[in-house]
Amino acid sequence: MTTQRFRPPWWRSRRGQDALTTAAVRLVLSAGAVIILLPFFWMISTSLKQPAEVYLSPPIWIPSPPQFENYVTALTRVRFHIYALNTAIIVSTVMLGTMLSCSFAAYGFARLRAPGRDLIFMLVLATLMLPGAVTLVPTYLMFNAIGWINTFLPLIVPAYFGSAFFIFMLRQFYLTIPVELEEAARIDGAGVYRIWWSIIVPLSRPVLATVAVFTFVGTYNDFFNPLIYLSRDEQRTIAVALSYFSGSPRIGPQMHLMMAAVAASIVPPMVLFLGAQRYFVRGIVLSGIKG
Amino acid sequence: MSLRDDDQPQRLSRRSFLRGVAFGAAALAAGALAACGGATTPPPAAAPTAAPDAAPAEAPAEVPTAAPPVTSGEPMKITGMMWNNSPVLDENFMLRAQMFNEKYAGTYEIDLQLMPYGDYWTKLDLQYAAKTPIDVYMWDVQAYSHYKAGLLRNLQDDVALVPDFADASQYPLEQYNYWRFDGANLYGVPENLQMMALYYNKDIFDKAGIAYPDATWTYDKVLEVAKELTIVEGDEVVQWGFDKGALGAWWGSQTFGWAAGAGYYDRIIEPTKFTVSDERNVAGLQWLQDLVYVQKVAPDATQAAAIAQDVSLFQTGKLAMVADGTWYMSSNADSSFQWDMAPLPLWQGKRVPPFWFGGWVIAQGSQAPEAAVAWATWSATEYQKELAVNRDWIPIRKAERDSQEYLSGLPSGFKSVVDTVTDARIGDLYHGSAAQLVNEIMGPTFDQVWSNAMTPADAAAEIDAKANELLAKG
Amino acid sequence: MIESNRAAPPATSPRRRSVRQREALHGYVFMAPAILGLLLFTLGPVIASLALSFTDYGLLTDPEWVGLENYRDMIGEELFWQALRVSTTYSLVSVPLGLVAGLGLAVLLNRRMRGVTLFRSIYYLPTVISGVGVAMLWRWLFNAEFGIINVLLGFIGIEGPAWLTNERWALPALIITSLWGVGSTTLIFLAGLQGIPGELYEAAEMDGAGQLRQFRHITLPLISHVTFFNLVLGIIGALQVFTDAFVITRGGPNHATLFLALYLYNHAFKYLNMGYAAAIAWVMFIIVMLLTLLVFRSSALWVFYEQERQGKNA
Repeated sequence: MTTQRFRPPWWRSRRGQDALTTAAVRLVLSAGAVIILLPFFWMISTSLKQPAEVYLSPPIWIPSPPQFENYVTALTRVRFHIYALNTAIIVSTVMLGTMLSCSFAAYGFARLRAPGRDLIFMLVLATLMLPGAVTLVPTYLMFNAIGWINTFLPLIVPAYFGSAFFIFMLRQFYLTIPVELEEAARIDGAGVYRIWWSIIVPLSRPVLATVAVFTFVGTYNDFFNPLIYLSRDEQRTIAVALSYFSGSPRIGPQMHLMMAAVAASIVPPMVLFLGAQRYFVRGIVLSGIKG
Repeated sequence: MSLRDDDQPQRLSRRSFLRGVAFGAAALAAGALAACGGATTPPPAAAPTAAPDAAPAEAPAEVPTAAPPVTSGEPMKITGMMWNNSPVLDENFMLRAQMFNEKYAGTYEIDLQLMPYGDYWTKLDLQYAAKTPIDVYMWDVQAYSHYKAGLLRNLQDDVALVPDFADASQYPLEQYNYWRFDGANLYGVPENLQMMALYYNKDIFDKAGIAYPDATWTYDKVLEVAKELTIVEGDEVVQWGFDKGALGAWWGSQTFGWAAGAGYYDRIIEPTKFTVSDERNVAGLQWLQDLVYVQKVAPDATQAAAIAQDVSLFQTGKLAMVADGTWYMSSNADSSFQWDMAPLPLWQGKRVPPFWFGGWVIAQGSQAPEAAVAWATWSATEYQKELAVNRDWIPIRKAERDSQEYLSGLPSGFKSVVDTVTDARIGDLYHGSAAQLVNEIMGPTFDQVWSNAMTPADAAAEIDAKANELLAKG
Repeated sequence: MIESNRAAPPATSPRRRSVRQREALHGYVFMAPAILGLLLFTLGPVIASLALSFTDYGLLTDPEWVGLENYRDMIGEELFWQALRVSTTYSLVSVPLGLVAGLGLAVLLNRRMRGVTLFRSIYYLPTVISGVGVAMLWRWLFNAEFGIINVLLGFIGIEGPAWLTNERWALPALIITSLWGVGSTTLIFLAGLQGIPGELYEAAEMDGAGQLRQFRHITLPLISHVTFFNLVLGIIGALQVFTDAFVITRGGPNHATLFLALYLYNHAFKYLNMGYAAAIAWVMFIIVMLLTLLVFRSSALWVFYEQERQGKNA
């Protein structure tokens, strides 16, 4: 804090300005938060209704009495514990594979000069541009031919070979890490692998935390791949189980149970997000080094 | 937004599931290899030992396929598929598989898999593409393309072995012709029925002191009563008399044309010409559109939005009558008011409602067709009792459908609705481009009629032009 | 070379051939997972889909070579152009809106103040719901009669449209839906903002720069590598939007939300025109590729990486 020689009016002072800005920011964020949360409120409200209350007009905002047993019903009518276990296995192995392989590959794309590097990068990125619907059939036939259908392998193994999205993201951040840090380490005799592991990885914690959260959410919510590659109910995941409540063309959805199941299903990713929060606060560039 | 959208293309191409491989590996390693490697082979004599029949003399009609064939050791394993409906209905399907496996223990074994509806078809198609088809699966109109590609088993001879299926007093055999796609042979085994009905809110009728709808009602009568039951307060309608409901679907509004002697296309199997603009068809569409914009007894497009989505106006208790399918009963089960159902009204003195079959089809490439046939025929005979007990699907066999046990748990008008099946026509369209005809041409164009953006005559002409162009393309 | 400003060791340092070769070798080792993944899992299906685009293939029967017919058909298809229009409109609106909203939120959420953790969680919340769950929820929310959106609009005296069944309002409804999920863009921006050294702002403040100028001259340039990422992925993602349209509107009413990806899906799996679908996919691919290359080319003008900042600071 700089010391001030004269005292301007409070609202003009730096501290005052800060407080005013903070208040304004809070106000804006709160207004936005209400908009964001309203659908969730509606979801929770619906999840606590009796079936007959779901379709009333004007709608009931706060059901009374709240039907907490909807949650019990939703979580027991299908075998949620099995789906949770499958989900945990898939998500954890995919996270490990994605973070390792993407961080590793991204360093190569960001820093090391090799002929054809940018062309390869563009090819990797290009895989994001082709709609999955048309590569599905060849991919499915391929996994079918090597006997991977009805195993977790098609869901897990590709994660160990990088994902274009995260390689790109990590590359963008690696490009901003000061080169001097690596130069210094190199002078100290560290090889590229060690530089990657002991300098780049620790410095990129906020991004890696982001990758972790995204991977978790993406895999956790992946509906289609588990569905298509795993046919047995006992192999299914939570995201697939949610669809069990959504009905069919002839049978309407059970909205109250559906909403209860969806509400329950967002707990794990939110817990992870809260846990990852502490990694978001530290900057990539440690204060002081850059001075 | 980038992440979420970006993720979607992958998970999004939603569809289905697989089955065959597991069964192959587990049971018939050799057969599976053959299946993987070869093209769609005609059903090999997978189990030549299986003697397809020999009903013990004392066995009642209940035991259709007869004593399980004698086999040594491993049962003949098949994969089956059905789509998810709701946890309770899904569970009943899994129980059905269990019952089957117990009954045929050591002989047949089905591995029944459930998939969400949209993905169900993708999974079936992928398994066909991989040349390892699902053995037996629930029919819906999409499976007609499987027939067209020569992938469905001709069940004519299989069904002939089940004496029950010759009993016209038990099964609507006349209607089975809709599933004789080649004009002579049956390609599916029906096991349940769906109809359309007029649903009404009894509380509203009681309050107004009006007699409930019955089989004698005409659409004129519906309109007359709907006018009485439409209540306006200020400039807001607080209670509607009637809503077209499922009559707004192409297969719904066609009932008017049928009753008047017309129809939307020249024939149901492989139509060659669309004739929506026939004035007898247009008259029905006009009547439906006028309900909203002339008679003002039905909600307009904005209010109908509530119906087109997951919610129906009827369930709010603010609608006196609505036309919908029998499947709609389950949605209404939890209503906060009393309701009942009646047959669709008469149009120009006639009633030709749409109906649908639920039933099983079998892959031509199945390695164990006997087992698949056993599943399908058992479902349509012995298992009918369970359908009646569960009351989740309408049994096709009359004995169960008319049983006191079954009817006692259903609305009192139910029987009169299902009895109209003999006058009914199948609400389907069997053509290789059916999905495109419905999705791209009929659906969006009819929607414009209901939102009053087009006159029925113009819409009908447009549908005919586009549909006939598509049909001409082949 | 797609970017002129590669952050490599300063070009001034003299390098011998062998050093370069070693660096290249290490480079390939680092890139190996991506290269292998490409070869093992993606390249085959990608090439297959290109080949299929020249065939008549319905999944159920074997593909049949038809040359350019699928591409020719596409040009004559009214609905293809409609889908292209829908996707283009959606992208043009939702990508910039998403970037602006995401960055704005990130800046606010980057502020040091009590409760910011809670706010971050709230804004991220929408993105953790699965695609299908969120779509079901929105269908419910936009319901003309019972949906919370029109109920709320009713409170302030506005009669909300029948969002999802009105040709004019269905696409805006989907854009709103996409904005609700702006949390992931925000999170990436936030990670970028965390990397800007606080000293820069302090120095600027001493020079008397106001918040707006600080934002323009410090935040925007130093976050540009993240903006670049979000823009590229935003374009790729927007053109492939599928789930929302598939679950919420099913492409209707009257094709008003028939996104390209949905049109493609219908042909691939509903109408069993896989060959035609593959042709659509490759046209989409070329469009996205061109746009991406354009963004990459332009990046020299507006994206700043580490070595340039060094140059400026020095």
